[in-house]
Amino acid sequence: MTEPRNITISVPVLARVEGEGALEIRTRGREITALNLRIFEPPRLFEKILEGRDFGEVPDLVARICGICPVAYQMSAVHAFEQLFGLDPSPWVRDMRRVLYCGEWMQSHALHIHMLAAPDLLGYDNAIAMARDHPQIVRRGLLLQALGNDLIRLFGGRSVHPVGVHVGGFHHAPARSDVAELYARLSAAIPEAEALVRWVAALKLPEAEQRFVSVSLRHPDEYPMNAGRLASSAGLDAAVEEFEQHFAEHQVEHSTALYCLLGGRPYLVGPLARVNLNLERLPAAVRVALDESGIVWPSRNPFHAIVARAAEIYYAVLEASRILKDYRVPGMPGAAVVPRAGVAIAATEAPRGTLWHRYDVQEDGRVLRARIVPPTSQNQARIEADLRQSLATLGLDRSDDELRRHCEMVIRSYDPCISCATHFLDLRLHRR
Amino acid sequence: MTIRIRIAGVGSPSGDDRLGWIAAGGLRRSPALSGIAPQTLAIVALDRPGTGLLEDLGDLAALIVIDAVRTGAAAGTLHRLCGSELVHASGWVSSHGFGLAEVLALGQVLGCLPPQVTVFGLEMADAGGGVETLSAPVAAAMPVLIEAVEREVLGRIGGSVGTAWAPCKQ
Repeated sequence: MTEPRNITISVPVLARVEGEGALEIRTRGREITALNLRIFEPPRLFEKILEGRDFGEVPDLVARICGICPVAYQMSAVHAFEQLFGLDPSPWVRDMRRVLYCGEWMQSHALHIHMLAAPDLLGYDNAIAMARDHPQIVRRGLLLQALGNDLIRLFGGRSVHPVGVHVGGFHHAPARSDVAELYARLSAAIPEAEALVRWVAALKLPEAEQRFVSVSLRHPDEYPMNAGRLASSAGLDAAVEEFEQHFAEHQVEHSTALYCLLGGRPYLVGPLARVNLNLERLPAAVRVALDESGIVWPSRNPFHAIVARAAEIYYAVLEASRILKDYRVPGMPGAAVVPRAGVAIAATEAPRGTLWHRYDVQEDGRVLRARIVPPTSQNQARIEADLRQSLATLGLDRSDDELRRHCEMVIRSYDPCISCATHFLDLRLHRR
Repeated sequence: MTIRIRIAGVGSPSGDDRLGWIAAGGLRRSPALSGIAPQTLAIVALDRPGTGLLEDLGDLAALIVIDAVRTGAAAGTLHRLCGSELVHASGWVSSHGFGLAEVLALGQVLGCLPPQVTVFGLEMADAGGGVETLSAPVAAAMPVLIEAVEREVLGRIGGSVGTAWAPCKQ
């Protein structure tokens, strides 16, 4: 039995996650009595900002919610309005949105793997220290990240808060010469992305077998990005319009981000959930790379998210290159839309998981109410559940430093975007 | 001899954080730099320092970075850092998550930085929630920033125009 004692540990900022927050743990002997992931970033109030705005302004406004995944916010918004206004985007628009999303997955995942997660797994304090011993790995990561950013820039004018998207399509179609240059770089990056999956799979990842429900979109014949139905590993199969019947958000005192539960229970969204639920939608090359990782898929080890992330980079490089191979400049890069009153709903797969939007729209196209459910608020309860299980497995008799380091590694493996969820780690550990 | 110089204005759309972009635009229109061949001088606007800054640096002789900074000085104060000052500048926080100092340190470890790297940082007043204009003190300091970068470039190219600052010792 541990001697009764009171200890407070404080880490001013959790490094290498997006945003600010804290973790508070209370223990009594070998039992965790409280574990709270406190997100204390001020509420962003974005949903309120959107009220009264014309639908046409929404894609550029919501892009400002996140500097890492602006495309996801734009994609959920445009699909929601198009669903309400009865517009089926042209095949060209559909394809190019997929390419744009591939760009965002590549840059976001490459940033997380190389700058945020890998230093943990290799025992370095940060990516700069890691780069001294593994320069080629970091260079490859930067290459893939830059390629993703350039895909976003191709359509959005810039990679942060891009501005090329509107409800109905794109403001302009990229020139064939620009696409040809990127296609050549994508083709050259295919072996690099494949090698990345092998490198990540060879990392020594902690063993952790946990029970959790995976949630993502599922599409009849595509790996999910912009379309599909809500699916879970527990058998959920629902239209995105039915989200509110199954998923409920609630507020807790210790966090400014809402918690979202499925049937009253935590669940996982993001790359691991997507791979777990959509293995058969991946092309053979990615499946082979996943199979050769030695991991049994679907995986119940949350640390395997990094392998799923690498596999999604590989997929995104292949998919963007497939689509851009026979690129043609279309007559019109977008269609005009006529607004109508009603409820606009869509969900797409942001790098960190399912991103659900709902807009109540009045007749002239202005937004009456907006509701945005980002991936990190959906993962918040799952991260807490994971921490409880991880700490129980690790043993609370470990040193405070060891416990804190492990907690940080668990949290970081979810790639939480606190700035999206509102915003992260000051660890307070109270032992009794 | 051709000296390849790249000026990178780093920014985002919000408030004073866009000053790197505005400066890049101003330098593109600069009469003082208009006679310089494009293969000698490239001016780019970047939306985050992370990857963009470390791309294609292969045969550059000099990299000049312009970014909004916060050091606690008065808004509009111009800072110029080079050489070892950059390596020790980690407490000198850039307006972008993976800070400029970290990116330059990463570039140094990877051996992809050009021989000369200079950072011009202009003290920002506000990252302005939703405002897409510069604050008055930053707007007022913009000509000073642009002139300082012009002198830096011209000084590097041939010393035809004197520079108020000594070249970086690197």
